[in-house]
Amino acid sequence: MIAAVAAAARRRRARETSRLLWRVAPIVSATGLIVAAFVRWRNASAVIPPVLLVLAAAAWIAYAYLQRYRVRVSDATAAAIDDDAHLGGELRSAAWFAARGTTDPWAGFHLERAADHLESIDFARLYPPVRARRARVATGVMVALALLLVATFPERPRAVAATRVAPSETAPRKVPPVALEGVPAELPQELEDLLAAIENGTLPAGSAADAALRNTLTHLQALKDPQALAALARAMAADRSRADDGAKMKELADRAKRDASMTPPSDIRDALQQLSKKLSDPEREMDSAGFEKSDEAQPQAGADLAGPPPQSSRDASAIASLGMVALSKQEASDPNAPPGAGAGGASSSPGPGGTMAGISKALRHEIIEANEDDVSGDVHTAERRQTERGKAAATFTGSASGTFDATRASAPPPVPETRRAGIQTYFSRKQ
Amino acid sequence: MTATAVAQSIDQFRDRFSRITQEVARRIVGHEEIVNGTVTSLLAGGHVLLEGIPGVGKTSLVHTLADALHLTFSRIQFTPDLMPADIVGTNIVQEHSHGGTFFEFQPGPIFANVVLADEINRATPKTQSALLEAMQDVSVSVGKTTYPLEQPFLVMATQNPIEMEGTYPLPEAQLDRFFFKLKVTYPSESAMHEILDRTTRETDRTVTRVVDGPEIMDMRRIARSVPIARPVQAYAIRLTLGSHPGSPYATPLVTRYVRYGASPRAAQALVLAGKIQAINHGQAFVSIDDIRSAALPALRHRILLNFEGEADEVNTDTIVTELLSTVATE
Repeated sequence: MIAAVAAAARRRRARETSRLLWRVAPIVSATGLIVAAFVRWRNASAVIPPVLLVLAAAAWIAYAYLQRYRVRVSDATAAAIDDDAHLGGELRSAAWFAARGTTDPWAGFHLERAADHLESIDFARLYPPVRARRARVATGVMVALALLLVATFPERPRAVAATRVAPSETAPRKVPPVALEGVPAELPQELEDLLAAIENGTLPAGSAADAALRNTLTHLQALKDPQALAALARAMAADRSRADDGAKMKELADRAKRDASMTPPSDIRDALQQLSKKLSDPEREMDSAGFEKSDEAQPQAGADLAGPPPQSSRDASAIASLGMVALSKQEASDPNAPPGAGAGGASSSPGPGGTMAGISKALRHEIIEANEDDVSGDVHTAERRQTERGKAAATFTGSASGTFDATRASAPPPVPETRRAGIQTYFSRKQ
Repeated sequence: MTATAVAQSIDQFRDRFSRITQEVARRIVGHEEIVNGTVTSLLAGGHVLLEGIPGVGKTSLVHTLADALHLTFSRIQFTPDLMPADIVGTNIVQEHSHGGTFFEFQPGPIFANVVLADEINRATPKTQSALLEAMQDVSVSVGKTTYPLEQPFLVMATQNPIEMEGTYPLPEAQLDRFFFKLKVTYPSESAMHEILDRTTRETDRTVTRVVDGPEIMDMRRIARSVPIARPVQAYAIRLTLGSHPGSPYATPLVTRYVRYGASPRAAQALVLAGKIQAINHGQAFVSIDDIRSAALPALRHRILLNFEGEADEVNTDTIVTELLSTVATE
């Protein structure tokens, strides 16, 4: 009886195992195919997909073997076979009595009848082998595709590996120093080293805390002068023979932007993004920093890069505005006189001072300054502040007096060194 | 006992069982489940509580069964003024022929094989409890004397679920002593035709006695011989335990609405009824389905609802049905 139940259980288990394995096989082969495609895409080792498939096949066979030769017939197994064969609980009950051995005539009669019923059942028909044609075909096709992908693996990985180790490409370039007031001479070289490290992926994880690098970032963030930015771009340009400063600045801006995107969020990334912005739009940066772009301030290749400081630039713009007034007077008196011959002008030199472009710039600057010095707005703000202060005083006098608890006060959060210059610039500009 | 003898016993049991039900069916239309349940209770040595609206044939069923079984039958109409002595009997003073008096026990109507306790919930709890000893121990005590009752002994009580005024609900202890509680439902349309045909025409409705007391006792012995595998018995136990709110097998309805679950008598009833059901199907083993078929009549009156259950008018049949669908068979 037990042997018959065990045989039935083995047949049932084999069928269940086969069904399960053929359900899993397409998934595993699909995974192998995906891995093969991924490996090909990422140029990784070509051995991975075949190894994966071989391991899966080994696990498949081992599971099937273990399931087939598991001998114990539990009550649940007997109940399942009973249910499949529609024996109404007879097999389950008989399996239990048979496993324990009994001398009870009723139990013996029960076992005999159960054995007779068991013999009449065709278990080969009850548990036919699993065909799973679609699963077999799908598995075969996917395994073949995976192996095909592996077999037609390109030689690219080795080529890429060779390019990766080429020292000429990875080594940072030598960059000439910059002779500019307020800009360290070695800043271009330091920036080149930083960018090369980012591009090669050799930038250490905790490098943002490095003092030298932080110093470099501080200097980069402090760079506002378009002349300095242009000088930096010239120094770092791949082709220094070109005369177009705009193209060089754009080249450096693009490089800084690209390298910023390659670094995780950090001070380095912020500094590079800022540099990219400044290089992309020096006009705006110049305006926000209080620089006036004049002809004198125009960068000249090979010339001394020392330009006028911000204050002198401001003065120059003021003079330019005077020139505009003088020009208007001159035009009124002698409309045929050449432009730019007024008393003021952008400079004493016979350059474009007093030209339409200079006048336009001076006018624009004047409008900005006038907007900032809006007297009515200041009066209103002052009144409002006084009123608020008065209310606050009244509220304070109405409340109970208390003592200041110094222990509850906390210091403001520390300002990162790399951002100190930027923050200072921000607040000084607001004032 | 040989296998042939076992086979003969099974055939004999089935033959007698079918003869009883067929004979009852000559007078009672439909209600096959009720008849089966009643005979099962008789063969298990239990008692039956029949619940149903008036006029659906409860009393007729009991009458017919008693007629078919060749057993003594007595009927007790329970009323509010019925006294315990009216059921069990009493000692009366008798005179000797040569002079002098003595007490003589006059047996009450309980001294019969089949006792019909009609509308049992109309009597006071004191009178209802007079049945307790008879139902459990198959004996009655009057004064200092205990009188055994003749076997087979079957109490078939009926109660009306709709007329609750002036009734005394059966105590839980007494309810637990009923092997099955069977609900007699209204007959179907086709059954009604048959009832009208039989009762409104002149027909022979006499019932012959097909089985006697010793044969019933033999059937009881055969039924108890059927083996039951431990996993099947475990299922009966799980069903019983599942009716208790604190049990790991308890269902959500049990946890919410049940105050007390079924007693161990319920598990006994499940197994015994399962055995009778199995042998009646010609099996020498008890299956899960046999246990399940006995669950409703064996458990429904043994589950006590809490206040929330009573307030929500929860039917214990719903709870048992949920138990059957929830408790695992393995």
